[in-house]
Amino acid sequence: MKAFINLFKKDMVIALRNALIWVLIGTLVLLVGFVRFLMPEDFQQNQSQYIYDKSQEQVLQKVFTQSEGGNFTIVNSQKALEASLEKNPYSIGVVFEGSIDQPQFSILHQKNISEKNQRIINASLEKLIAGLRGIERTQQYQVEFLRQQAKVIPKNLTSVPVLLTFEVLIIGFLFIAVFMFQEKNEGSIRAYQISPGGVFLYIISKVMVFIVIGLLYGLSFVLLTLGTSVNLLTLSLLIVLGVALYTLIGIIVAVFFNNISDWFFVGMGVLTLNILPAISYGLPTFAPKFITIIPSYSIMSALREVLFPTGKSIVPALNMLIIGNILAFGICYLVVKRRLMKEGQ
Amino acid sequence: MIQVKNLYHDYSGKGKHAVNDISFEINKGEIFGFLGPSGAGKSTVQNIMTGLLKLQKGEVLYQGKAINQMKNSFYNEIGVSFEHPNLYAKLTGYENLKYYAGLFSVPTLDPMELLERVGLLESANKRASAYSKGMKQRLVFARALINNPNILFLDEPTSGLDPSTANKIKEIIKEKQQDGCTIFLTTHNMFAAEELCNHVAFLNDGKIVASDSPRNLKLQYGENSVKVEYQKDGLKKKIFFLDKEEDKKEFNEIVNKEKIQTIHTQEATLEQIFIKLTGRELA
Ligand SMILES: Nc1ncnc2c1ncn2[C@@H]1O[C@H](COP(=O)(O)OP(=O)(O)OP(=O)(O)O)[C@@H](O)[C@H]1O
Ligand SMILES: [Mg+2]
Repeated sequence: MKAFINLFKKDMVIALRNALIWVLIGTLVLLVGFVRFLMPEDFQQNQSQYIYDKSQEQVLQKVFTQSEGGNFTIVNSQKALEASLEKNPYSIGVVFEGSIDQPQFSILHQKNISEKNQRIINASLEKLIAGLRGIERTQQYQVEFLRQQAKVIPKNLTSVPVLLTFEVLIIGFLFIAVFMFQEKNEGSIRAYQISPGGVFLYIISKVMVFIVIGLLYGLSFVLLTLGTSVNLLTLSLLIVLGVALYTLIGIIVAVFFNNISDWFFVGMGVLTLNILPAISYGLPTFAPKFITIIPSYSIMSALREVLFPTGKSIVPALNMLIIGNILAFGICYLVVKRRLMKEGQ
Repeated sequence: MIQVKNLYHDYSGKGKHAVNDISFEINKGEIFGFLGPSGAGKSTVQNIMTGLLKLQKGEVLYQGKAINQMKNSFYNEIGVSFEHPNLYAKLTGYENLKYYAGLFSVPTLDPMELLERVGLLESANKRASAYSKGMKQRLVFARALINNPNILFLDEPTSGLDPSTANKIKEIIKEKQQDGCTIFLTTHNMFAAEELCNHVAFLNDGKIVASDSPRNLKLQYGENSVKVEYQKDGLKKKIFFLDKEEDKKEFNEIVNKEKIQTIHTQEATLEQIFIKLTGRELA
């Protein structure tokens, strides 16, 4: 234990003397500023819809010129529709074709719209058509519609789980590599090799350092953007598991290289692979099956659930991370023992 | 106490041996000098003996126990000074010693006292990255002593140091020996070896060419050598071991035929013996 505390202190001192720590603090400030001030808070609220009735009977046109149609605005031509969209980039354009019995809607928009919004639009259009047909809507649909509306998260804050996952990745995977290359470069790793420190202490100390840094960073980021309303305990648990896992993976990869340039292609490849789930997060239609086994996917979805609860369980994600950590530790132990602590073949 | 038996090492795995069938024994409390020119394989042997480099073929035994079966606690007993300084660059001299000391489970020495012994007290709070080469080397040497080891491995501890600093280091080495420490000393420096070592082994091209006490080596390879300086297309120097028939013949020839400037009889130095044995200079 004494040896561990000593080693941890040493690694921490070196970490804090590294220029990277300033890069980290810099990005923290930038990201908080970005989330709080730069991203539009919620463009969905005053989202208006423009409808162009292209059908034979022009039922919509007739109905709406008689009674003003709520948040729908009827336009007379495709051109007028496009002009309206141009003016108001967050609005939605709807082109109606076919007939009341067989309606066909095309939806036009400039910005990406989420799957959720897509559903809201569908629901409102169906409601509209049903109203015209004079048929009562089923309860179910209305309930879902309302629930969806109530749960809308301001767009700027939905980025928090993604950015937090990036942070876990970068701190764990990238920084441990930089650290290890420094030790290889200055040769201090050789001094450690002939000390009684051993493999286990080496790994645990490094992981602990990055857990502490990751926690400080992650908690500050969440507190500064979402405030204190989140479950900090579960959040911390997730950050700890995430950073530990990526630090272990980072060590496993870095052991095989001597400097950043040798490491670059493989390291960046692994990093990119782990960033894929973030793309899936912003683009729900991009969700190939393999993505769910990438650990950052579990981290991200669990973080989202912790930060914006919907009642889903995060236990499967936690289990996956725990198993991942155990596996990664085993592999890490082996490669550090074989490759890092001993030279030659 | 330490036995090395039929040690081989091949870095590339292509049959080119940097260490080629080396065997020797070191007694407790002895300073064992490992001498040889650059590239002879000295550091390779030391690295295998400390377990830093994987043992490929042969045996390294400490009181009968094989190096590749040692637990981490073995490192409580030994101290290693490397030929290339390897310090935590972002830590100060003091921190380098303090944190290294914290890894041992045996009593360790006071970092400040050690720094004073090697003349680094004033620089104790400077970062190691700001140290000169010689300062780094002294810090690495001090670090090797921090756990009060029973066995010391010193790879070129005095190379590149000015004579007075080198003397300080030699004093510490002698002191350690008096405390009962067994010392494996690698060097190019024959004078340091002669002064310090109870036993020396000459290494050339991965092989031991001679191994004995400095005194026996001198007895064996002729106490009385003769150094002749003569004029033949410029000044020529040559050393002859007159005990040897062919040397004697050649010496007579030169004395008879060439224009002699000086003749000195002298006690053979280890360096001369080495050159005699290998045809190579040391440095
Ligand atoms: N890491 C390595 N990979 C491949 N070859 C190596 C390595 N280290 C040393 N060698 C080779 O092994 C041989 C012995 O090297 P070694 O460093 O043991 O010599 P040395 O006697 O310590 O030399 P010096 O006096 O210059 O320190 C040399 O031919 C060297 O090129
Ligand atoms: Mg060497």
